[in-house]
Amino acid sequence: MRRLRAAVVTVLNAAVAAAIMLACTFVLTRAAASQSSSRVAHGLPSVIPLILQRLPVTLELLGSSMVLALIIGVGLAFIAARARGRIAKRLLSGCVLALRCIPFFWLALVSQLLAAIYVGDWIFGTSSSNRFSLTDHLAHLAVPACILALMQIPIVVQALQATASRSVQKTSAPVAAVLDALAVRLPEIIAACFITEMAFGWPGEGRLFLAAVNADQPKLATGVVLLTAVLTLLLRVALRLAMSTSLISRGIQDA
Amino acid sequence: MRKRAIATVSLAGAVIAAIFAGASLLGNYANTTDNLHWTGKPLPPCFVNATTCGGHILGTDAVGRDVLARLIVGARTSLGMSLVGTVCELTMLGLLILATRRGNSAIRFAIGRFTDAISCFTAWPVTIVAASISFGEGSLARLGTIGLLAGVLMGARAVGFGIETSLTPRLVSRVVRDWSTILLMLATVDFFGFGVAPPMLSWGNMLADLQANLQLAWWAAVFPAACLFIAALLIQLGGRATLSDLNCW
Repeated sequence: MRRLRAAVVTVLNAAVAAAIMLACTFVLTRAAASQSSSRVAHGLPSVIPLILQRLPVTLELLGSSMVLALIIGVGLAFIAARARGRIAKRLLSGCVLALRCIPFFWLALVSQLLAAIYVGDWIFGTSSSNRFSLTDHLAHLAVPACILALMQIPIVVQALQATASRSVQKTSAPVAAVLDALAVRLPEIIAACFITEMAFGWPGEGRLFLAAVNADQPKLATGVVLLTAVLTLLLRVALRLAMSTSLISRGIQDA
Repeated sequence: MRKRAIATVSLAGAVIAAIFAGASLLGNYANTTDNLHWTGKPLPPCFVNATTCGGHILGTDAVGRDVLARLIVGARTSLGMSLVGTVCELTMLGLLILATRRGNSAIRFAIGRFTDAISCFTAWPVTIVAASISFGEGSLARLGTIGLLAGVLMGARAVGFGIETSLTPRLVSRVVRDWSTILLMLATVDFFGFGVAPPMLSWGNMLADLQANLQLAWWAAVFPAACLFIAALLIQLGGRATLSDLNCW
């Protein structure tokens, strides 16, 4: 009964947050539309299909990069935990800190240029031809997913290290800690995903957003921003519900 | 441990302050449009080729402007703007702490839901949309809007991190570290051409021609990014050391 009550409270809180989010977006859209010189008057309902059409591509890139980041991040944290000397731990901390401080747009664009030189132009976009081929699609996905994973690895490693350092004081679940950290940082990850899409010609929400901003289409741009915010909120609610119903044991959040 | 933390904070703070002060003092004298040595192609940095650098220590960009002078002027804008954002974040967190302590349960509920909602927005896309609203305004008003928005977004995110609503070492450390996040976020906005607009300089808008510069003059594409990286690294180290330092007291 208590769990059900907690779940209902979580959902109601999320509904109020969603209402505030909508109100903020409405104000932003009205203000942006009043400044816009564009004659194309997209209403919010008319841009929804356009935005939703691009969503699967973005989710694919986001999901694959998260899986990669989890695999690499867990591996690195495991190696650092098993290493007896302090050098491995310091090296890992240094790399994590360096990755957090590099301007991501610079990293993505330099990687794009290097990939174009050493791998070839074919890696841009989602496929080489109109005919779908899984291997070709995965080959196109590999480089952007790796670049986007570079941004998420520090989050995973730091969450795991924080869990390990606190495990003496409190019982904490690494899975919950990592998911917590990723959920809190999801807006940053999506922002990085937009940049990756732009750099590698991935036809997702990021490219749509930049095209909308450059074409002076404020409703389309705020529509994309609203969609990503709603996705973040839904994911956080799902995570809180999973934690409140003990599907995932509660971890300690520390970024 | 405490001495080491204090030393790190002092060093990081001193370097950042020196960059900022140096940029402020030298910025007025730096000639960012000088292309007297323009030979039709960019000049390399002196450490690459001392005979052809023409006295330009870090070389010139694709149109013959001195990279070092531009970096000095850009430092003032980039560090200043991000500092404005950090002050806005600190102010917002201060107000939230005050409202949470003094307010009733309804106010606490409203603050909780507001931060829940705002922390879901992606930072630079929202800032770009907000910047496009104030395109008609003067550049100072637009930059003020961007700084304020960056502060509000980061403040909401800091609350999302589960920071206690009191002035704890963790909060201070978080705000110091958020300075580097704001610096990188504003650089992204400038890079896309929606923040600091030419002829004003920032490290972000110096990278706007990144792809062309990488092929013509790699130094013009690497040094602004290196400045951003070093500044962000120093701020992060300072924030971490602040936490250990304050925890020692």
